[in-house]
Amino acid sequence: MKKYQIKFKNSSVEGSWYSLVNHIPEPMQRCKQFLQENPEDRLESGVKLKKLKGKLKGILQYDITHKTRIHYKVDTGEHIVYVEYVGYHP
Amino acid sequence: MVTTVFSDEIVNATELRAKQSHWLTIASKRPVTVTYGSRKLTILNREKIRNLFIQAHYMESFVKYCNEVMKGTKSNAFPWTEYLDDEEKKQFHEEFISSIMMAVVTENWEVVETLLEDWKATAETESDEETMKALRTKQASDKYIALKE
Repeated sequence: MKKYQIKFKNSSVEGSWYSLVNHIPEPMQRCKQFLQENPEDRLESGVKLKKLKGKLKGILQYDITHKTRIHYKVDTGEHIVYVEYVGYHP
Repeated sequence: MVTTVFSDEIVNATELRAKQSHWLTIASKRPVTVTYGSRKLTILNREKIRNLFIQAHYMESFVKYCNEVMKGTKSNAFPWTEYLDDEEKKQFHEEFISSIMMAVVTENWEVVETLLEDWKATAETESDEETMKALRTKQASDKYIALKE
């Protein structure tokens, strides 16, 4: 199975990702594996994946923990996950 | 009229004890009510009653929400809808009705649950200015930074 490549929108998003990797390594490892293998699969995500709607259609949200989440887009043709935002739940 | 919606077999406790296997087999297909003195206890298929509880839960939310929409009041059923714009509220309303109708026919209420979770996540995202600012910022795909393995 071809893995998805993970790419960050900018250095700020990249920095937030690595900061979480340091603070919560295990959930981040699960998140990374999910994004690389099944970034659009609800069943594989448990209840962590949401597909946003309305003007945010096309953006997916993965809940890393109950406090942290990422938003991303998927290019299925190129097998790339574009991470748009890494941060805390409002 | 309403009383004809629910139909059950009625047996007393003595009959149930005498033919347990027979009545339990029937109860797996349709309700069997056991009379015990003045009390009446009904045996039902667990999946069926579970589905009825879920259905009642979502139908209650549905009726409350429709009532709120009709009155034009702030939603208590789904308070997060306040963060959706008018077009999104309309879309949510239409999708919610469709999912309820589909679930009533298929008895698959996960469709409704998933829809509500997606819309709630959408509303929560839209309520957070920092996240929205980040999502609105455009970036050329060749400028994205690859994860270091």
